[in-house]
Amino acid sequence: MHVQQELKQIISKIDADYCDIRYEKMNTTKITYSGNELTEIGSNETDGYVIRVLKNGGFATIAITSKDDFDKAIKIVTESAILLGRELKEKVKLKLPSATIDDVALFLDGDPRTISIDEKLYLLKHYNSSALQCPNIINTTMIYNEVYRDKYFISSHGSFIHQPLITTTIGGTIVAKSENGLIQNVRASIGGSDGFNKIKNRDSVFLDKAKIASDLLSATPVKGGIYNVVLNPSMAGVFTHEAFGHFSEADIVENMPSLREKMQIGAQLGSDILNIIDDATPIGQLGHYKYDDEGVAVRAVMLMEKGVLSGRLHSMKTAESFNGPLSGHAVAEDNRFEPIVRMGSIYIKPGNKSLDDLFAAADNGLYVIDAKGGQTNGDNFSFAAQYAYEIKDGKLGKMLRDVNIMGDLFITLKNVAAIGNDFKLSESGGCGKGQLNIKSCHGGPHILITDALVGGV
Amino acid sequence: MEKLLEMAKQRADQVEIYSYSSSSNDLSFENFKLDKIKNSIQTGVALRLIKDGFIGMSYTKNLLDRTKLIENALTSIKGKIKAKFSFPFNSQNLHSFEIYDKSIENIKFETLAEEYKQISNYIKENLNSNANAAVAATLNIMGSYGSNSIRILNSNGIDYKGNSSYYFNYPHLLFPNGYSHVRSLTFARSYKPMNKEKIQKMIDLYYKAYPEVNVTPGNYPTIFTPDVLYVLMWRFTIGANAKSLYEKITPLENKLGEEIFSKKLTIIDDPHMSDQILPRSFDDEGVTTSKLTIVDKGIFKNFYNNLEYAEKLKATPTGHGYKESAMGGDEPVSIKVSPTLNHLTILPGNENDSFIEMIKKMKKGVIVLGALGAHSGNLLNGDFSIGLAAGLYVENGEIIGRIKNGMVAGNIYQLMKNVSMVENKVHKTLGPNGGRYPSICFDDVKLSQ
Repeated sequence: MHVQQELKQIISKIDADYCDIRYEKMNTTKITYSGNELTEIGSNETDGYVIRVLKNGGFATIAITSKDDFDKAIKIVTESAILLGRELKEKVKLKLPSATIDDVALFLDGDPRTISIDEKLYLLKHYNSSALQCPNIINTTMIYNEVYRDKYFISSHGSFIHQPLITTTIGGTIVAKSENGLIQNVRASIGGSDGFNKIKNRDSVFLDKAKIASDLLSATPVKGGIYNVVLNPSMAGVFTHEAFGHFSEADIVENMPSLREKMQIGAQLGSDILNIIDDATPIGQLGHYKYDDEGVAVRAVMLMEKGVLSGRLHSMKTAESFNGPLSGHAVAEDNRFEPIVRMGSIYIKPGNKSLDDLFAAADNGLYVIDAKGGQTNGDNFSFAAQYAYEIKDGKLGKMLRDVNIMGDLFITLKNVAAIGNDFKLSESGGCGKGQLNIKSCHGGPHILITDALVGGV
Repeated sequence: MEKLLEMAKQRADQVEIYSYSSSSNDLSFENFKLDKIKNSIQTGVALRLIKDGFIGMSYTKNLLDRTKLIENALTSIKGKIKAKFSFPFNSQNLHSFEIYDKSIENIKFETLAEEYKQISNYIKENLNSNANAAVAATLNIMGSYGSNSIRILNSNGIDYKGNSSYYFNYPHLLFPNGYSHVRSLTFARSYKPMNKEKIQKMIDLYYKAYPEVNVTPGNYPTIFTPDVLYVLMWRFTIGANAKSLYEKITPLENKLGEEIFSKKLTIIDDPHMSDQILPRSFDDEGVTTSKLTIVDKGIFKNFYNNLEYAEKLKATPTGHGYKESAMGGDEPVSIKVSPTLNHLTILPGNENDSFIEMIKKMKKGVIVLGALGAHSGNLLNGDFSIGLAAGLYVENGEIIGRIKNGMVAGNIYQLMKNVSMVENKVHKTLGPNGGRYPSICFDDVKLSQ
């Protein structure tokens, strides 16, 4: 039976105020090298259904694998919604989009589905070998990961959307070791949502990173303390994502009264040069999609203008409860999950300073390069860098390692003292808000933050 | 599954099938009120074939097309990944566990909702003695119940099955402006009513931790509580992994038999302890499990492995092949089996060193309740640099308050040599490695603020 007919048939069985079903097939091709050894290769397919029901003011979800479980699933999810509706003092209401029928086209520069697995293996092997041949490199973990998601969405409100998405990346870790046993590692990754050609002819990425890993063996560990820090676009992206972005996700602040109080639209939270946007609409970006997993068309949202909080990212539920406009940011990672509010592609808008201007303004501090993970905890955030350089009297000095930065969101946003005139977005994602989002995109220009807390090892 | 096994045996020299099914029912409570219900019924099948000395793998969630699953694994074999090991043979001495409680099938969401309300009411009533804390506290509760089953079949005669049930609730009492919190875990095989004493302890700690304090940066004796010890153990488990040894990227290379940590530390992996979250008699490759001592009174005793790395290192399989990824997120069937510790325990210390006594013995010190950025930094080298979320400051044996914007940093291979106290009790955690840990006090941990 055709997917649309099948989903229509299921949805007709559900007695609800609103319901939707997402059916998602996921084809994954993964090839892994550990050092010189190929350790994993293959293509596989999984699928599954996610059903959501709003009834009597309660909104519940169920994810299932097998069609055989439809009747049971509908019973469980409906009962769950009724229970929630009974218990909640404030009943759930949804802000619904206009009904949409669409079959979304893929725009790819080289469709990875048409490329043989041998060619993918060859390319991965080539980059991996290049890195391994560099001085002091003793190991790599290098992965080709191609994820093709074929999503079908139907709602009782009259929408039916078919949306395919493909993400293709090559990335991993390059490890260097010194004669005295010191181990250092860096990450390298290339790719995105715009096709296979993006990952071709990119040798320099892996060679440059292998050299950095080797250089780190003789780098100086940073001394913990307070520094002026110039962040490169990768670090600025993680800073924007972790320190601010998660708190523009309305579901995060919805039930945190103290934070919600501070994160009022119109509040001056950042320095007056700070403009932050989430924009997943441009085709070709890693984070691009046309509709979210509630069938809402994604739109660009200005989250901060001149340091003033100006917008939030919403699901249908939070748009209603915050009385905000729909933004199309309710996204599920795969067929096991319900959609949650997520950033699509968040970044600080470029300013007018050159990199030398930023170094001069920093005077003495750190030039912090390429992210190595980050996390937020509310008003506090932390993120790590792959490497850094000392800035002394506005000039770059020696290489430093072990740089981890922590800060208070509200203080640090006001300490963004200068913004560069360059711009770069990330090519691979990995936000871990409950579901690991491989399309999570961020970036920006270089920025200068004053008085950042750096914890050395 | 039997049909799949028979079909696959026609096409390969050795066959292994891993399958699982799970049913989970999650209910969350946010800011003292019911918030979300999520249900999930999932299945998955993974196939490994060995043919002419090469291995291939495939998986699906929905076993509708056995031929395609076999073809995908055969295509994977064309990559020529060598497998010199064999799948294990049937063992007559499998440990058995009573970890499925049939009453789990009768639990309803109403039971959890009612339990949450009782916890919430108890906390509201008992927060009243401190006006500031009572105003600012936020209560979130994560909770879930359900069941899991796995089955391993192979062409060497193994057909192992395991069923388990679980119930847990995990109240978090949040400090203002974020997720820093104190918490209290209840875990059982089926519904278990709240333990008021445990909830009261959480409230008492919340009060003590509530005031924010500034602390002079420097080196302090620091207690890592059980819920945050995973930060250190994460780095150690990478170091003690046979894969890291094979790749020569572990600081523990050539350290077997050497004293690497304080004599106060004994670290074991024991899948047979019945109070584990998920005890196991076989791993995800069908290898029989047993207790493995990794560090004995500070001396490094063993690397842990799976079939692949046991063979590569010419070692005996330790039964630690599991389908898990370090950062989570992936579908279990899609994950390649790798050496993983799932039942990690640090043995308790001096019987007089309760958590309270440990604090009393500190003149000036830090207690780490939660970490920000546990995954950041140079894990291979054993380095860590974490934000305190929350971190408490202790003076003259009393908790003074919560450290504002603090970080602690160090290297586990230095830090774990300098242990002053190990708590007399082990606590379950829901963190990685199935960790069961006591609180541990380390000397001279660097604090930045």
